[in-house]
This record gives sequence, structure tokens and C-alpha cells, in this order.
Amino acid sequence: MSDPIDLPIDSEDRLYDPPLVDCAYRDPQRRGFAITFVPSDDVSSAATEFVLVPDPSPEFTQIEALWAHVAQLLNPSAALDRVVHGGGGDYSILLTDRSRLNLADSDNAAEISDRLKRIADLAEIAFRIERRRSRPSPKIA
Amino acid sequence: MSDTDLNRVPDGGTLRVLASGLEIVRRKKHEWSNHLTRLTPEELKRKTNKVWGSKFLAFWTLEALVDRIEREVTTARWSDSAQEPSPLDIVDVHEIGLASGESVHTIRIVCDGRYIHAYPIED
Repeated sequence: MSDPIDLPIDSEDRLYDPPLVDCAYRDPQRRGFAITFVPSDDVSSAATEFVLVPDPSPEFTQIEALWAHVAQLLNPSAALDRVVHGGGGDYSILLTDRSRLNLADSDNAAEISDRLKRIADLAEIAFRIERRRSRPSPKIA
Repeated sequence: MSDTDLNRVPDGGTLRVLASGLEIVRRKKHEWSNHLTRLTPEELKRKTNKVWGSKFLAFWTLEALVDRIEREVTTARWSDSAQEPSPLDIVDVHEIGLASGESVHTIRIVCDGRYIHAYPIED
């Protein structure tokens, strides 16, 4: 068997279609995940939308598990503070000890990108649910 | 902090903490880069879309941007309350940036309850 070709993986290779996480962090004061995301075109024409995914909710439980998995894959020196989108497939991960990691520098960049994409999908679901709730019910004649 | 110091703040890091407790954070994906001048119109449209981030024009230094954001959110009385404030759209008489390849005049300032940042949006 020939040797594997060591293809470089750049941010274009990790590029997903929206929804994408724009900024995400766990907010203990408001008991939830505060997630700004780049929405799908069919959900919103805005560049970003925001949702607080409350604890408890099914989406919170799933995001919490994905967040823990991201931390496990990064193996950071401190807890994750927030994840910030750098454009395209790039992300910065800020830690509670004020240090910072680049997704591109991680050996697990592809897996972490996948988890972040799933967090964005869940945030968009939570956003749609919240928007439906906040709309007035149609009046029955 | 001077602009030189602000440029040392990492992407997503805090540029200024306001009296209200809210923090203005750096978002590099909305900052100007000289490589944008070398792109074809199609590439420029893509690199300034919502996936790659609309871009402020080069004259928007971090210091100028932070000062403007602070002024606008102070006037709007944003505070570190439980409810995140609605986005502020500020229309400038001058072109301020590029969004999906188009020159735009509008700055959107957003807050997620703790962190504030701004970006150009289509007029």
C-alpha cells in the first residue's frame, strides 16, 4: 500500500453552510447557552440571530454534551469560556484562564467543526421554537 | 487603550468594559484586510457575505470603532440586564463598509446580554 497523502486541511475544508455558530458561551446567570448564530436563509435574512437556549430544554441538554465533547477534543489548559467565529471555517476558542486556541491548530479540527455545526443546528431549532412561541396565536372566527 | 494595544487583543477578546458592565469584543472577521483589494468582484462578494463576515473599511480603526459603539449604546442606555437589548442600526452619511460585495452605510450593533460587537449590514 502506498503512503497516505498528507493533504493540508484549511478553513475552506471545514466550511459548512449556515447555520453556523457566531459566538457561544454558557451563561450561568441566565441559566442557558447564549448563542449568536449565522442563520440559514430560510430562517432569517439577518447576518446573525441570537437565542438563549434555556436550561432545562432538550436543546440545552444536547448542546451541553456537544460543548463537553469540544472541550474533550481540545484538551485545553482551562475550561472553555466562549467560542467565536473568525469567518469561513475558522474559530477562536477563549478559555477561562484568558488564553486562546485556534481551531486550525487543533489535530481534531474537523471533529470540532462538526460539533460546532451541530450546536448551530440546535441553536437554530431553539430560535425557531422561541419565535413560534412569541408570535400571537391566530384568532379563531 | 491605544489602537496599538487594542490590536493585541485576540479575536473575541474584550476591547473595552463599559460602565454598564457590558463588554465590547473584537471580531476580526469584520475587520478590513488589504487582500480584499486583490479579489475579483465575485470573490469579494463571497468574502464579505454572512459566512465570511461583512467588512468595515480600513479607516475604521479599533479605537474609532470602540468609541463609536460606546457612544451609541450609552445613548441607547444599554445595560447588563437579564434581557438582551434589540440590535441598533446606525446609518452613516459616509460609506462604512462592504456587505456581500456592496458598499454600505449602516452599522449594526448587537448584544447577547454580556458581549457587544458591530458589523456593517446592507442598507
